[in-house]
Amino acid sequence: MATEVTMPKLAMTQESGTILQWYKEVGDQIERGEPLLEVMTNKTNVDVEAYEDGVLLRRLYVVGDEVPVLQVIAYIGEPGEEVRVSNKETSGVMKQSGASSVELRETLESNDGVTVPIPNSSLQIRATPAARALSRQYNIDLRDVKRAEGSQRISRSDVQAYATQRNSMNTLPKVASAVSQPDPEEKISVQKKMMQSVDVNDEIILISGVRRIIGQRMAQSAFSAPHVTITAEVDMKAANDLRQEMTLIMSKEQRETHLSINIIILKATAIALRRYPNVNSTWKDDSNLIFHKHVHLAMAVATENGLIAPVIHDADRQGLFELNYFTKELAERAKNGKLSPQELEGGTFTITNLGMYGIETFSPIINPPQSAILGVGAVVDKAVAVEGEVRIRPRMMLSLSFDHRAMDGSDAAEYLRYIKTVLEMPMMMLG
Amino acid sequence: MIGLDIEKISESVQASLEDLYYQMWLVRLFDEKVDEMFAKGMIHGTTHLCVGEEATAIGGCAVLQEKDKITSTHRGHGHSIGKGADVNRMMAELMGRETGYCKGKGGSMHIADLVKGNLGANGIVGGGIPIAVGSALTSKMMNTGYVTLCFFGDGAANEGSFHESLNLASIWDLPVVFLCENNQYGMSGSVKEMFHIENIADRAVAYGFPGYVIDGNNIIEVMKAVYDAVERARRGEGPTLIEAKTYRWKGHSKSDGRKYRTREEEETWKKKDPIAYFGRLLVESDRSTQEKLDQLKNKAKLEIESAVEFALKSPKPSLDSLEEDVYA
Amino acid sequence: MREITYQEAVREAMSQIMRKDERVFLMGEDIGVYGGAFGVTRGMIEEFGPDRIRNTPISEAAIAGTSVGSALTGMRPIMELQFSDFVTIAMDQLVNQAAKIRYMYGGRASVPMVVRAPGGCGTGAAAQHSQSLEAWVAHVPGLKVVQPSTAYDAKGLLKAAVDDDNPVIFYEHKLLYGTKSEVPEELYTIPLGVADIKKKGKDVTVIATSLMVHKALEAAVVLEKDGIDVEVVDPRTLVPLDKETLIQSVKKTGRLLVVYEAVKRGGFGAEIVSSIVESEAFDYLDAPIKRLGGKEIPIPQNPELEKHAVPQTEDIIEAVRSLVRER
Repeated sequence: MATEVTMPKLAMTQESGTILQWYKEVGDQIERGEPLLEVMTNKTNVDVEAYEDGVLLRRLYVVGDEVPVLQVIAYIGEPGEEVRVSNKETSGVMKQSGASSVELRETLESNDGVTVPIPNSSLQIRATPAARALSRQYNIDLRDVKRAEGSQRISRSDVQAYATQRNSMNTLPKVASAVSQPDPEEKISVQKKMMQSVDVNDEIILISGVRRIIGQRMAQSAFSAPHVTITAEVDMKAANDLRQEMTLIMSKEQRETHLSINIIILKATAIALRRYPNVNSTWKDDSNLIFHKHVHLAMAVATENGLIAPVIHDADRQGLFELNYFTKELAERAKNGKLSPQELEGGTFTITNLGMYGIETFSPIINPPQSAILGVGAVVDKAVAVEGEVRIRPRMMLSLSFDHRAMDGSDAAEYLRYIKTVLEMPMMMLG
Repeated sequence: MIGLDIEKISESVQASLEDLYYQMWLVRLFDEKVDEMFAKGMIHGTTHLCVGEEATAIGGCAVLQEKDKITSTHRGHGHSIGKGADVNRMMAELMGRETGYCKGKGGSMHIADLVKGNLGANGIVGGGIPIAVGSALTSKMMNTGYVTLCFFGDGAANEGSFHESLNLASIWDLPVVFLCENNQYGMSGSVKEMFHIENIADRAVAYGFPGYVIDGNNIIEVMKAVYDAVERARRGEGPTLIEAKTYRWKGHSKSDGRKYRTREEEETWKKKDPIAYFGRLLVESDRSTQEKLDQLKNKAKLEIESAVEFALKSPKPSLDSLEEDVYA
Repeated sequence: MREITYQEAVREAMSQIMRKDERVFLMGEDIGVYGGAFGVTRGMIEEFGPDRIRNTPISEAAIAGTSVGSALTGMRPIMELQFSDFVTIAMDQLVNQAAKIRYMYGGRASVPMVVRAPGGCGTGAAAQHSQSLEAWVAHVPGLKVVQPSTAYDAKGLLKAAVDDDNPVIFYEHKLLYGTKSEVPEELYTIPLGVADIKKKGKDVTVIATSLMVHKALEAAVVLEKDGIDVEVVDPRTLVPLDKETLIQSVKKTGRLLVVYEAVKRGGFGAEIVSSIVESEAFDYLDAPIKRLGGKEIPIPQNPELEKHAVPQTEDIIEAVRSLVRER
């Protein structure tokens, strides 16, 4: 009997996982404990290990497919064993990768003659199966590929040629799930222009894994949530003073972790969220707006593999020292790729900081499905008027991007103003 | 034909005459029970009943030795019982159970028991005739001394395989006995309509071996004729064709309304009931008593009841067996 | 190694088997002193006598049925259909009896028999003596079907067929009887269900059966000069079919031509194509699959007409070129 491999549920609130890569081909021998595929949940990638010895009999999804948890994704069994896949088992795909899964289509059609709706019109293009397979592998849209002179269909070598050409173009493939496709004529002319502007020596890297997922998520957020960014300048003197005073009262152990000004910003952000639940919210399926009771602050961390956002649960309820220690530790592990899936789950709001680069304002993109994100700028000494006199004061810009579907400008403004007030009068944190 | 009286016959038969009487009832009650269970929807598919033809089945097999073989027909429950089949496993097969002779894959038309020398019933009219010839060829080539008794019906005598097989058996002097159970109808086609000769046995002359016509409802006559033919075959003198005239009381299969014949004709034949005839003979010749015969009938009845019970209690074949046994 | 003809290989296999196994015997029309319509059994009656080389009347149904009956009771008969076309007259015994007995009897019987059947056209024997009906029997569960293309394969496969406990239909090709190849003197077995790559190549896979294997090999030589490297795969047995070897070849080349002599419509080549399309090789196909088969006509007598009724080397060359050129 073949055994099922299911999309693992690695965290309580995880509803699906996206297949990043298969380590095993159909027919490969697998030992219990060997990694079978890499799955992305929220923003981390996890190796899914085989829990049976045997041969990989069948894969039901391809790279890029987002599959609900506990859905069967593959079968392991004896060599030559046949696997019957019911229609039900494969119907759960949430979002297919650029090209839809061949195996999936094959299964559905062979079972009851049902034709799966084809989401990608590149399937309308005449191409050989080998060309399609290669285009999936390279994430190439067949509509972009030119077939050879005199040929009736795109062949593998046409796709290969396109891939080589693309490598010499240093252009990224289009995001498959973009809301509107530009009309083909326009696209072609854009492409021509791009080709003319590319230097042959430019390097290009195939987009895959986390980078690809980030790209898709960012595009999804940018193109579906109407973003508005508002900014406010904050006087950071009081916050700075607080930081210094706190440092003095830190214990020896606590002092091992440098107390960063960020922690005070984080804390202020968190307690402000508690006060403004409409900012601490999730826009869900155009049908529900969820106001979260807990403040789970996601903190954007740049890593080698790309951006990830570990979550500080109940950030508003933690003391500054506690928060300081925990945040540093979390960021450290994020950089080393040692986070558990749970630690990437359940964020209700994200805070992102480009201050260390001297950036003052920017317009961050909301981390979906959240409704807002706070961009923290550099603390810069500026000449400002204080009580009628020109003074040099540490000032910092905050940039809040919010989803205009979930709230209006006045809501966001009130929230941002509250953070500003707290930072300028840190004693409010005690309240 | 060579005359053997009841005395001699009883010496040539391993089973007692009373036992044969019991076996005839076993056949009839088996088929009547099957008829009833079909009507109740307890048996799936189709079945062909040999009620009224018990003398040919039991008489034909009675004179065979353990090593001898038979080929049977679609109307083969009697042949199976005659060749020593277990009615439990037969009933289980008809009910599609795993404990059946064919593990529930053959049903009524394919009961076989190679261990007992039954090479199988056959759903193709005339299909078993060349198989019987092949079996006889094995006997001859391997010098095993067994004889193959080939049952077939009047309908099969008009199949090409009948002619080809009888000829082949004849030219090679094979130890086979062709026993035609002429029950007057090939489904709806009566022998009067489908033959332009009085006796099917007359065809033997065309292949160069003897042919006999006998009363198929008289078990003694059946035993005498088959015994002589079997002995002739065993001596290496070749095949014999025996035509046993009999009658099928029931329809061809379950769906048969018997519109092609009259109820009067059926009644006439029922008066020639082979079991009743044999019973009278046993009582009149003081070989048994009516009381003993009644006991035997009752015993057969109980055995059939317990066969049904066995079948009902037996497991159905698992779906895993579906693709098993296609190839050896 | 010595070379012998296909016909000699079949005969040698039978003789060597019969010397070892008394259960094996031959049955067929004119197989005695005549030596069979194609001379395959020539000399055998002298060695084994009329008891084991059984000359039969012209009764295909009885020959087949007698084979079934003797197989069922312990023998291992080899029956010769004088022409494979005559399978039509033996069909009930092969399809309804031999193929089904094991299953119908719940696995409690086996029918170890071999039906040798000379098939194919090219002798001017016209419509009733030139057919390739292997797809008919390949369709029937319970039968195995073999189509050797060389003397070497014929000997080894015939041994496997006789050893097999199932009814095996063994198709010989009349035009191959005179072809020679290296054949070991001793008896050997080529297992049923193992395809043979007759020529390795990387550009196009040609799956061909029986006589067409040779035509495909001839075509490959010509195509080599065009720079097209053809792989020729001979399934050797249709049932069981070695799908794996076929799939792997197509995965390698991405292009497939299937060539068989039988009428193209409903021929076994269609089954091969389906097996490929249904397999993981699908994603490796880089051109539409092509199929060459016999025209949908009875085989005519006139040699020119007859030649054009079935695929020829030139047709294979053209088909392979178009596979590479047109895509």
